[in-house]
Amino acid sequence: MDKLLQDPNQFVTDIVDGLVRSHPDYYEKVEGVNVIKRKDGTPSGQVGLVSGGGSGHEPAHAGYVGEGMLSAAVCGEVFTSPTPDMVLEGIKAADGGAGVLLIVKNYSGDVMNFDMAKELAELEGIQVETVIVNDDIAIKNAEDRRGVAGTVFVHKIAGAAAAAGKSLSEVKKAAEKAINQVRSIGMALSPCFMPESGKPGFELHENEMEIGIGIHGEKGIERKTVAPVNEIVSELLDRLTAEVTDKRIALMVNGMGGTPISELYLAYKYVSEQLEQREYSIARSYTGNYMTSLEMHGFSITLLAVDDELLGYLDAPSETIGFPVRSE
Amino acid sequence: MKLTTEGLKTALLNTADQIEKQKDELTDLDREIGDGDHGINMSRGFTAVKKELEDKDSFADLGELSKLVGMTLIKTVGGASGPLFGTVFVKFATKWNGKSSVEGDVLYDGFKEAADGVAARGKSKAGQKTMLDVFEPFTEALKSDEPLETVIENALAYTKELKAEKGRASYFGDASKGLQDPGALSSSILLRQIAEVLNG
Repeated sequence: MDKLLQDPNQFVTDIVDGLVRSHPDYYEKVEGVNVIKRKDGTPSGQVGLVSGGGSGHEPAHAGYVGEGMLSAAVCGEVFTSPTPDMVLEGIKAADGGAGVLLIVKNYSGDVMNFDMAKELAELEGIQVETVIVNDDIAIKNAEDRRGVAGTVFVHKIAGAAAAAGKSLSEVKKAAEKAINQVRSIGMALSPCFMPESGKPGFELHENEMEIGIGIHGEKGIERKTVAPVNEIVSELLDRLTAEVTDKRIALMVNGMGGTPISELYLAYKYVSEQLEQREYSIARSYTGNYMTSLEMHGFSITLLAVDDELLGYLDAPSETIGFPVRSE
Repeated sequence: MKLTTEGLKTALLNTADQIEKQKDELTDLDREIGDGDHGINMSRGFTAVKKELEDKDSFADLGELSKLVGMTLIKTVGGASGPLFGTVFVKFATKWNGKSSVEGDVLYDGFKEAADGVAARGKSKAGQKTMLDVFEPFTEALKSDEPLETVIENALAYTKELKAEKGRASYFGDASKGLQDPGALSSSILLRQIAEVLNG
């Protein structure tokens, strides 16, 4: 295992401290817990947004904390949901008096821990709503689908709605609209290594790839011999375009952490070409590392069907490290 | 069969030692069927439990002990296992509050409440290849004469052959048959230690 490490048990704390030290204008750490909040806090009367989950997906989720996106990110251990008391700290840090929306990826651990935190926050008089992102079409059964890179679009859209002064129910509605219209699928060429055990999350032979991989290295749809990227893209898009039939889309080509940016742009070329051949109109495009899986080598494609409302939210200003949008 | 505050404390300390011994085995199983961290998370949680138990001289009753253990697990384990194993003890506490020794129906009621609590929190039921497939037979066996050791052994063997329908293991579908569920195995570690003090 090749990793920059100090103490494996301090892996997440070291990352969180590094993020806060590196961007003191953006972030503050909540005292004593791995929760990062907006330096300036949620403006009074605005809906607060909290996301989070296991760590290892950087820049998710802390990279999306800032004006126009999240109020706080709760950073669990690597690939492990944060605990309810941590999430509660995030909710308290995010509360600006107008309620808090939790954006949760669909994993049983995250769902249970955020749910318990919601119950605790309500006991303290904070109004809390939850949305659950399930954009990974590698899983057949929709209710079992995982939340992956599409979550970043949900952060952006809900964040822009909150910044526009919408109510908690309106922000939730915008987030749910995004969730209904976003789908993703990924693939990997090589696994990631867990910092505590030093072991790979899964095994892949040389010249083998996994289609439909999850962002924790969970099993996908099939394993096969590595093919030229145009063929891989074709297979991924066959599956995605079967589900996203509206032709006006925002496109994200996301790196899994161990993929050179050069390869992401190479993949982008074929993704965009093939989408054009399939008569899709790419209204917005995003290429980069948005939702990673430690050092996994691979990428995912996310399609979000957009209308003027969602485009407006995507284009709204965002003062964040991971998804910056300059104000006009 | 009788469970005392001191007995449960002993069982928990033994569980912590046994989890530590089987930490790598639990993690390796989880790499096959989940995300490869179950042993690490359970070890973190039970190490914290052990410390809490060693730091405190005595507990007023089973309720106080169970509540402390439940809250410690919820705060330290993370993942799905934190809320699920935490729920087991929080539910024990609701049934055993004020009691320093339980047997018969009251012993059963605590385990029944715990199993129901796990099912509700995880939105699951027996037969889906989860910790419930060990927990429920154990609970029912408290009403029978069957040796608890045998019940746990059989439940583990049965769980191994089930198809996973909950949690990350469910992504494996039929391929999960024949692989042991890590949560079922760690439950068996806990229940074996409890069985040992029950058989006293």
